[in-house]
Formats: sequence, C-alpha cells, structure tokens
Amino acid sequence: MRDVYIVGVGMHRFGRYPEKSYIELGRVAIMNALEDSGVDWRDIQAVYSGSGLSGMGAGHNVCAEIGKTGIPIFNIEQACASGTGAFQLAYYAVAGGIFDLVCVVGFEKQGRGFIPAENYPTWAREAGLGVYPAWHAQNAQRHMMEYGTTLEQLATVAVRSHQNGALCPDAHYQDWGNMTIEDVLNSRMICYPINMFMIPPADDGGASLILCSAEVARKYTTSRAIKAVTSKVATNLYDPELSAFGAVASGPLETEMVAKQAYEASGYGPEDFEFVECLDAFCIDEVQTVEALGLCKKGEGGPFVASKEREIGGRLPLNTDGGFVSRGNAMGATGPAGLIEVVRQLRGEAGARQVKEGKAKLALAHMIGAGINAFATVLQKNGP
Amino acid sequence: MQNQVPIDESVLRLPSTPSGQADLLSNKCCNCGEYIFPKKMACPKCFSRDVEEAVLSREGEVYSSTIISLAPPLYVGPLPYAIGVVKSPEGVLIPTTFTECDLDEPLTVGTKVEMVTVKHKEDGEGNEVMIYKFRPKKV
Repeated sequence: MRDVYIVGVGMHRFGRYPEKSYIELGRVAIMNALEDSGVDWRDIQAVYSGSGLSGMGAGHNVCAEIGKTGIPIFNIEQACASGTGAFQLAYYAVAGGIFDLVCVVGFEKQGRGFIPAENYPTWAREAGLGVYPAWHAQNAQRHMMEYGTTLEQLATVAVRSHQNGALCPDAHYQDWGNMTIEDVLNSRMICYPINMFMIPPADDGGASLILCSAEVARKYTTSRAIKAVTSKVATNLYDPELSAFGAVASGPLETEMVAKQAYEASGYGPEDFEFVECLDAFCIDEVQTVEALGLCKKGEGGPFVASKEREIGGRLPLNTDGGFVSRGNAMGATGPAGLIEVVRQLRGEAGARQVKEGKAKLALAHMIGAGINAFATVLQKNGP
Repeated sequence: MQNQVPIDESVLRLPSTPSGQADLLSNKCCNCGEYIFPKKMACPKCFSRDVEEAVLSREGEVYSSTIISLAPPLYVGPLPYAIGVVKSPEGVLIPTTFTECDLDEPLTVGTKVEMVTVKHKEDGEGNEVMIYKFRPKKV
C-alpha cells in the first residue's frame, strides 16, 4: 500500500440555504478544495461522493457543474458518515495504486426538524419509533443511571461546541459563543432529557478533500500535505444490550471495534493523539465515544468531556470546529468537515481555533452514520 | 363493528376471537435459543437460519424511556408522546410507545409494564389499524 496525502480541502459553510440545491453545495466545496490545492479539475482521476439523501446520480450532477470528464464517479450512502465512506474508498484507491489523484466530496440538503429515519421499517416510523434523538436520549438516561453522568456535563459539551463554532468560518452557528450551561438546560425539551441546545441542526452544506499519492503531492505542496495514515470502518455488531433501533443510533461497540483496527493498522493508540474530532451529536454521543475510543475509562466519559482539557487550549481538545451542535450536521458533508478540521489544525491553519501552537502532528477523526457505520481515520503531519 | 388489522403482520397478530389477546411476534433461534425482535430471517447471535416464530410475553419492565415533543416524519399520533424500550422476560429489548402514563417525565427504568393493543389509525378501506403499546402495570 502506498502513502496517501491530502493536499487540498474546501467547504461550503454549513447552515440553511433554501435557495441553493445540493448541486451548488457540492460544487462550491469542490471548487474551494481545488483552489486550496492548486489542482486542475481535469487532472482529477476519480470522484468519491457521499450523500445520505440526495438520490440517484448526486455526485454526477455535482461534477457536471464543474465539467464532464468521463472519470469514474462513485456515490456512497452511509447516513451521517456518507462523506467519510467516500473518503475511505478514495484512500484505498490511492493507497492501492488504482488512482494517483482523486476528489472526495460530501454534501447534503435537509429540512428543519427530525431527520427522516429512512432505514427504519415504515410501521415503526408511523408509530413514532423512528426518532434518532429519542435513542440518544435513552442512552443518556441509562448512562446517567449507570455512571452518574450529569446533565451539566452534557450541557458543557454544547457550550464548548458553540465557543469553538464561533471561531470557525465554516460553522453554522457563529454567534453563540457566550452560551451558558443554564441556557442549554433551560432550552426547550425535545426528547427528555435532551434539550434543544444539545441537538444538532439539520443542515445544508458541502465539504471536499483532494487525495493523492506522495509523488503527486510533491508537485503541489510538501508543507501543507497531510498524511492519511489509515482509515477503517466497522458496521453492525450484535449487541443484546441495545434494542434493534437503539443500535442503529449510537454504536459504542462498533466504535470500539473500529478504533482497535485503526490503532493496530497505524501503530498509534489513544495516548498518542494530540486532538480528536469525533461524534458528539446529542452531547451524550461525545461521552460514549471518548469511552469507546479508549480516551478514558468506561463510565468516566461525563467528567472527561466536561473537563477544561477538552477546550482549544487544553491537553486533548475535542471537536475544535464546533462539532455537530455548532459547526452543524449536513449529513454527507459532516464526516469530511471533521476530517478537514483535522487537516487545518495539523497545517497550522486553524486561525483562532489553533491547538498546540500549530505544532500538533497526530490526530484521530471518528464519525458514525446510522446503519450503523463507525469510522476511524488517523491523520499525521509527516512528509510527503 | 369495524374490521381490525395489525400495523404490520410480522409484528402483531390480532386475536381471532373478541375475548382473545393479541400476540407480539418474534423469531426464536432453534440453534441457540435467542429471541429476535423484530423478526429476522437469521439469528443475529449465531447466524443460524433455523428460526421459528415465537410469541413474546405480554409483560416486561422499562429498560429505557423518553418523551418526544415534536412530530417526526410519517408519525401518526398525539403529541407529546412517550417512547422507549421494554425488556421482556425472554431477554428481548422491544422498542415501543407507552400509553396511560405521565407525559412530563419519562417512566423510571425498571417500571413493570404490560402490553395493550390500541387503534393506531384508520386505513383507506375503513379498517382499524392496531398497534402494540405498553402501559404501566396496574398494581
């Protein structure tokens, strides 16, 4: 397997754009990534496109707005990890010597309110069981019962998310950096005990990365090329402790499994990463995820995520772009957005959000999409 | 009296007599004994395809619960509503809505509950579509 590098990143800011189609969101993201890298569209050899809800030919429609070149275009669906799936397949293609220079894009267009639980049976959706936040809310109920995790700890995740998002030009919410724990806990109750301000928005957005071999990277940039060390995915494992529908929502078992695979493949472990982008969807997810990634012990996720060490200036910052709650969740674009934040941080280009004085070298990006799909990607400033 | 049909035949079997009770349907693995809800063609634990239908107990206890205040897409029913998971004596975790319960705070984990069958909606042919729910067991 060859080394794989990311030489360009670009996004369409997450938010609500009723006047824009998914095509425009994807197109803008790709154009920004091409500009960032200096790569010409005509040199791209394949496109990996991730979207959960955009339907047939979505990637093709986006690419047609840039130029039809006859190259392979693959459309990948893995719910909120659709774009991460596109990234991983692109990574494998370059690593395996199939292509030398490829484009990854994720995009989504969503309405307000609950995301349609399209992977649930219709009877369950009619009955009111197809509500992703409800399963996360129940995970919170049980985590609080079993380990003493508190609502204040969950609210701290939302507060920190908005502090970070306020510093991120591509984040949906940039004006809520002064949100307090009380603001979160007093906001409208949606799925008890999850309040409105713990819930990510259903966004429109786009995100794109340009991947290539080491030899190709050297033609464009050496100082700004970030190495994708490994990328792994794990899907549904049987968990008798999670109901059929709860399992689709959360995935701590799958995160544990994929983390182990990524750690073995990369030779790095939880103690090596200098910052992490991970699932934090309803705040409880960040608690479960840090435990499953081995960043802390099972049951200690609550105090861990609420610690000041998770802030931008801390020892192990989490979700410095604002994560699901503040940067937002534009399904197919969400995974790539997290990967892009890692790239920007490792490049020293994260502006006011910069961690570790720009000297960080190693980070982990984790994402979950309903299905379930749990992804882990290790990124490193090293070469090409 | 209106004809009644289940919301999904693989999930609920309505009684054949007026005094009968409805059956909540699962599969049971003939190889390892695991119960599977909703039904699957293969056992998720041991992967055996030798599974047969089994009726679940009508009583259980609350494993988790929450209350939802906004209507999700396709939802038919009142707002707010209570939803959660019931652990059956067979060890199955059953996603369900709850009825005849407080809508200010979710049911406490461990609360004893029992299954009832209620009207979900009317279909296009004038039938009553029936669904299972669980309610706190009357002491």
